[in-house]
Amino acid sequence: MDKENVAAEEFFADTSLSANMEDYMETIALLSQENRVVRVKDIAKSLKIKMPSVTAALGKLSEKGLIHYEKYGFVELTDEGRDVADRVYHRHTCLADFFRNVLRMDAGSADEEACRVEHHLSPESCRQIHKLVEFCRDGRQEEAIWTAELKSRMEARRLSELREGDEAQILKVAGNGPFRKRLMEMGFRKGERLQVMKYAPLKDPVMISIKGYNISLRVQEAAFITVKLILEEEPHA
Amino acid sequence: MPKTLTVGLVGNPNCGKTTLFNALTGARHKVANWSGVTVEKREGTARFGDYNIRIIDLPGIYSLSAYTMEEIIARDYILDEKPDLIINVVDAGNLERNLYLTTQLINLGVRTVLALNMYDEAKKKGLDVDGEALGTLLGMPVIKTVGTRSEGLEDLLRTIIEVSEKKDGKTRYIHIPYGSDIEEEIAKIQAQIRKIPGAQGRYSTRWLAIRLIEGDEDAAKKLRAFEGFENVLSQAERSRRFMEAAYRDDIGTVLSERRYGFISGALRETVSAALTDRIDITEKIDRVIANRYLGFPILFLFLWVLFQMTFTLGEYPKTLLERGIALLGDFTASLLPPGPVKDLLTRGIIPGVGGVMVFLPNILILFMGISFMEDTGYMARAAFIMDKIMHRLGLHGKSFIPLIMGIGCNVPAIMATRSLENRQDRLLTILINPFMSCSARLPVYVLFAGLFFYDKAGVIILSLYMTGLLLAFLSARLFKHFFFKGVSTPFVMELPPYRMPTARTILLHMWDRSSQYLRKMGGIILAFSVIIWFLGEYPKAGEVLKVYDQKLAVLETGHQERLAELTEREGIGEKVRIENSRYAAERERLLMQKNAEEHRHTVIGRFGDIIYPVIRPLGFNWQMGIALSTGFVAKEVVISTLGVLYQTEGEKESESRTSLKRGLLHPEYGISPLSAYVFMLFVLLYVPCLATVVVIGREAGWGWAAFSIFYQLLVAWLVCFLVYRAGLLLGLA
Repeated sequence: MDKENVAAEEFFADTSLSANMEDYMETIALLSQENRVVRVKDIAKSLKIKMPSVTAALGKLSEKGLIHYEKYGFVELTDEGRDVADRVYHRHTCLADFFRNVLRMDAGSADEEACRVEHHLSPESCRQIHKLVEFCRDGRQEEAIWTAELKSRMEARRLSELREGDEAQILKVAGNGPFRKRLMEMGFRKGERLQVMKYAPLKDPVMISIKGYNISLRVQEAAFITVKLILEEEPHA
Repeated sequence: MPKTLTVGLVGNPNCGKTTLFNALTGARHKVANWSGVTVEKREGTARFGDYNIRIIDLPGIYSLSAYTMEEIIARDYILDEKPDLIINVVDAGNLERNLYLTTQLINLGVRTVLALNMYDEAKKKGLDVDGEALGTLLGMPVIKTVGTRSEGLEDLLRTIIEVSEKKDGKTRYIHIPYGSDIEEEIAKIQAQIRKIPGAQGRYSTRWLAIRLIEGDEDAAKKLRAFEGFENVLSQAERSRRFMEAAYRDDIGTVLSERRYGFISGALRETVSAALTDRIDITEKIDRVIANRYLGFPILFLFLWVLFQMTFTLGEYPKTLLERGIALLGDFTASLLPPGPVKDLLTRGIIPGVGGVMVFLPNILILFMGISFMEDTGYMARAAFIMDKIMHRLGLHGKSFIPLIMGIGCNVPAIMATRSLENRQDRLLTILINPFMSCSARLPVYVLFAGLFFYDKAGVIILSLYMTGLLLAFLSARLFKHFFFKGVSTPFVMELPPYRMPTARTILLHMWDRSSQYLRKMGGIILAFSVIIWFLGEYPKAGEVLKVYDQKLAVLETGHQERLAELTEREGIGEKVRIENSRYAAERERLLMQKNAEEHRHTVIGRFGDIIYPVIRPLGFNWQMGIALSTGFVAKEVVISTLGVLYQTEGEKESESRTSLKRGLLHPEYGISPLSAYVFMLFVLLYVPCLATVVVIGREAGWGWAAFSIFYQLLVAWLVCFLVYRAGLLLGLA
């Protein structure tokens, strides 16, 4: 285990803070990166919480010695506070990375999902997940079979699961004889790229653009087509 | 002596094939975006040099694999009628998919000229196709055309003749290479086919081998006509098993992969695409038209406008026509001496045929609207938007269009069901179509609702349309449950790009549809108005009527006597007036009775009497029974029959409406508002018209036509009975 990894593992140590407090620390850290000073108003706005509640929470954090805060003044992280905030932030990045690059979700959903679970994971599971993310990243560079297989499995979606505007590449067309044949003849074949243009107002059928023309499929039928989602940006590529 | 060539026009739906056909032949013929409009085989002739080129427009298809009715039609034409050559029309802007069909034509081994149509649109997209090189690769001449602007047509015709005279430098027989392993299996099957002398001459052995290896039932059927087919089929079966095991995939998939591979290879070498930063207009329009919130309001707006145009705007020319026809009737009547010929013309043919003619303005406007929706590409979106609802009702998104069209006329609507690929969906849409209240039923509603419900007429008429819709959907579920318990067909439908249609194509399209309607309807109506007139006139009452003549004579003399007496005694005063009106009322009653007696004596009148016990529980009188019987032919006849039955002698044709209204409201022999409503319901629900029955018979089979008659009558009777009884209980009579 190299030096960087040792450092990384320390990030996942317990913060001994509640989920709420972790959110505050994370927000303060982010805001202090963006702005010169952090105001109660900004924290309230970004967390969508009322100002008095924010003030009360800041009082508690200040008692723990994590922030410098005086009433009606600016908020500042202490050295210890910066340490805790970094830990929270890293945990989030690690999870977002996991959802994005291992589970192959799109950037937006990966971030949301990370926010939802980050406070509930133990330091051990975070550390293990971090290792998995690292492994996949290394493996990709060397075109390892295991990670390639994992990646393709994770990238596979049913066409019916895609959202408007998503682009994808066809992996497989299942379904009964005539239906499958018709799709093949209309250009739905392995490797072909398509885009989900639109769902009908009642969410069914779905309009697909393929080979430069538009075609409509029922959602239930689109489920027979397995595709690989094409992610817009590849942050680690 | 001009030489004749027969040429088949083949291409995908929406590739502008029909426009090209029109441009080549100058035929009056429709063009549309809606997939599969051209189901009928249409012919036209083009002249070039000393050649007469007969062109047959085949249905728009994506492939020749005999999956849909259209594909079977096109394929059988090419295989069995063996045209001299084929023009394969392709959308130059969508070559990859369009050329799939071309690869199948190559397999068939027919001589083909490729028309790169809509080349202008493709160029706008930034595409440039090297026609020469593409032609060399495909083994057929390639001509760039623009059907809408008649560009490249001369080139195309000249090439056709060159190919037929074998003077062009491009035509050669090529194979789509499937790879050595598959080729080996194909060769094995071919060897088996060659052992059958008949089959070898008739079909290309390579084509047959490939179709058999793909497990094409239709091709197998064709082969079974020849002796010794078993060996071929078992070889094909062996080969397929072997290939599927080797590729671990369905053989059809493997072959179509290879075909697409061949196409992309050919396109890579011949097409250059300049990257244009084009904002796709179709995508932009779709964002609005298929929008989650706007989609339905826009659809209903379109339908509302279509309706308003058809029925409100169309009312003005219709009224004019009605007057004209009534005047024509009066005029004819004044020219001819009394007798059967006069009766036939003034009471049979003129009102009968005229009754259909008056709907021409409505039909023209309706079809203009529908053509516009089809040609712009909106129809396909309507199907897209409505599919979820239609699917839940056991129908198909494409069923929506025939159902809307049914509001205009069931006959073209049932013809429009041909765009449905699956027979079940098609049958279902055909069978429920008569419940869509067609425009011929509207005059009945207008008359009765206006007469009995005054200012509430609109609501009453709307309730009828809604009842029709409701019963259509209930019936759809019922039929689905009893007859078509299968899985529903896949909804694979192309959504063509939006195009602005030209006024010319819309007018042609409109005219084509309307003349089709007139031809179909006109002949039947003419024939049946003669028959119905005859059944309604004969046998003559003769002796029986003399009683009325005597009664009338007695009334007349009695009246004259009393009048003379009264005038003598008191001069012209109150009593004379009373006597006059007594006489008038009595006379009208007698005349009506005489008229009625006359009609009851005829075949139709007797039929009306026979069915009277059946319709009595619905609150109908015998006049209504006769009107409904004649209405079997066409709904507009219902009114004219009632008009005749409530007519008093010596009235002109143009006055019969007034006397009809007076008669219907008459306290003695008139009807109640409840009966009027139930009557309208019956008119809505029972057999729409003879023409519809004929069309159902032709499209779905006569068994289904008979079933449809029975079912409609049953539903009409049951619903009317329930409504009438409920109305009586509520004290509405």
